[in-house]
Amino acid sequence: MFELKEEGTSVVVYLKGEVNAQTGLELKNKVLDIFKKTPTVVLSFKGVMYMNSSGLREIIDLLKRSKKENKNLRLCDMSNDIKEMFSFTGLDKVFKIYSDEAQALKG
Amino acid sequence: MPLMITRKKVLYIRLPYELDVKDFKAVQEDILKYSDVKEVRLDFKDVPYLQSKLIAELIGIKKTTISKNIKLVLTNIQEGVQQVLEISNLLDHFTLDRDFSSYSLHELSYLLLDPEMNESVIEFIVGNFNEQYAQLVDEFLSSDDPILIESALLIIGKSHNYEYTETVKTCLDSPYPNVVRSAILVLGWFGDEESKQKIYEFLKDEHIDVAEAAAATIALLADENDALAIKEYLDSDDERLRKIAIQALSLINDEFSFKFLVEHLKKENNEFLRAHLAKAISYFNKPEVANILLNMLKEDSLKIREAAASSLIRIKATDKIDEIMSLVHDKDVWVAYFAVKAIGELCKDQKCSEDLIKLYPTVDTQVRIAIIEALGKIGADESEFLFQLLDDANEDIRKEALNSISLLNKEMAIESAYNALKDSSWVVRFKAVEILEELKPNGFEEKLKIHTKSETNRYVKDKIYSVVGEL
Repeated sequence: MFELKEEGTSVVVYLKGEVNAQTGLELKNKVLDIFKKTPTVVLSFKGVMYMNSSGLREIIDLLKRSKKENKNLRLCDMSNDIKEMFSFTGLDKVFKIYSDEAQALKG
Repeated sequence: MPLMITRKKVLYIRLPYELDVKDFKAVQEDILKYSDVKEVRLDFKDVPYLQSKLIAELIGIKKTTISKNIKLVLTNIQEGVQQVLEISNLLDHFTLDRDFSSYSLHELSYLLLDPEMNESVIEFIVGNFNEQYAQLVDEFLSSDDPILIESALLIIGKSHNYEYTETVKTCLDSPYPNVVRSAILVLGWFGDEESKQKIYEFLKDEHIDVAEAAAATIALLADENDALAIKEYLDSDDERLRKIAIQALSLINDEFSFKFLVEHLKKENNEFLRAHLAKAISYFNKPEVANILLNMLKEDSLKIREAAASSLIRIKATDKIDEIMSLVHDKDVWVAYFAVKAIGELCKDQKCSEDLIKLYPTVDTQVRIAIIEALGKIGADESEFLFQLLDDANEDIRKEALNSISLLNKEMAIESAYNALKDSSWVVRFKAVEILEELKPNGFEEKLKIHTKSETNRYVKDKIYSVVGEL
């Protein structure tokens, strides 16, 4: 479902297509699983074409749980359209959003 | 004397107000004393000014850190010190950073009132949240200052501090719009569905920021009934409210939202909002979206056509290439123009290049330029066709042809770029330098240096200097 790439102590998760209630939940479970072994996960939005509020809610929940477990969740490679969804809801201030994967890995 | 601590191989040194040569000497000694240190952070928070006699000492510290392979960072530099470093041309040689850990709670509260510092101070408190900062947040919440209350809410929201949920709710009754807006957003981040009904009241708020936050939060907390409630605002006389409703429905993204937006498209007359609708509708993963956008590509407004074309590209409507190609023949130049733009982004097939080349002699200059650009993006090697266009009378055509050749045929691009340095138009010569910089053929820097002797245009000369360095 999601392509993964290990980079040192981080894992990059490449999101694809649509982030909705179902794929958002799958993503959340996958990342929580990855967090058992690694401190940092970067979500790359490069392949995301569609996202709705249900998908966004799952990503917020993922952030909440990653903070609880002292893990780092970083987002990157968002199109302007997806970025607008984050800024509309003020979530651009809540998430750590980087322009590209290299920046996100650097932190 | 400087105050010094080490943490995780970082040596933190806080410099005193009346900084003197002996203080910098002490810093030098400390650096030499700690052999395992990887980074030294000199904190200038209390230093308002740097005397010129101290510059040499600072350079000495820099040299010591370089020789020991230690990173040197100057933190919390004040304006007076920064000016001295600038005048001495030293600013670029030092890494500067802000370190709020040396600020007292009172000082941090003061910094929060500075719009340039507010966000980074909040970020710092969130990252280091503890009992001490919790007390500070409580103090802010009971203050009369709307900036401090807003900052407290953002700290609570960003640190996911759910125990404050009830307090955040009470802020919905604040007389300050910025506080209400932040409280609404935080309740959305917290997923507090209980507050949704109350947040609805703010959709009609006179402050558009508050109404926008309300729409966004309702969309974030939405269930199957919320699209219907938001739809009402599509009929508002206030264009700003209609825009917010479009955004919210697009985020809710359910069947009802799609239906309402498509219905609204039939009656919305505002050009800006129609362009916005094109974008909003393209966020729905539905087969009918591409046809809606194709129709919008034929509308009178350039803004709407542009939004429709970029939305077709965004949804990768490759199954609509034939329909888009038919619009390339449209008698309206701008319909054809945006159709070609979309083809260039969507099609990777030689057939598209061939069709566009056939069409080329029959269309307006603007469309020709779009075709040349599209040929470069499609990727089929049509460099022979583009090569002929390098002799065209129009400089924009020559420039665009040169650019597309560079995307398709490296060898031809290098030869053409060298020839184009003799072009009568500086715009073409500038593009030629850009291409040589990108492709970096053997000896290109030398040839560019020679070219500067005959180059008359300032922009082209500057571009060459930026590539090869000042001569």
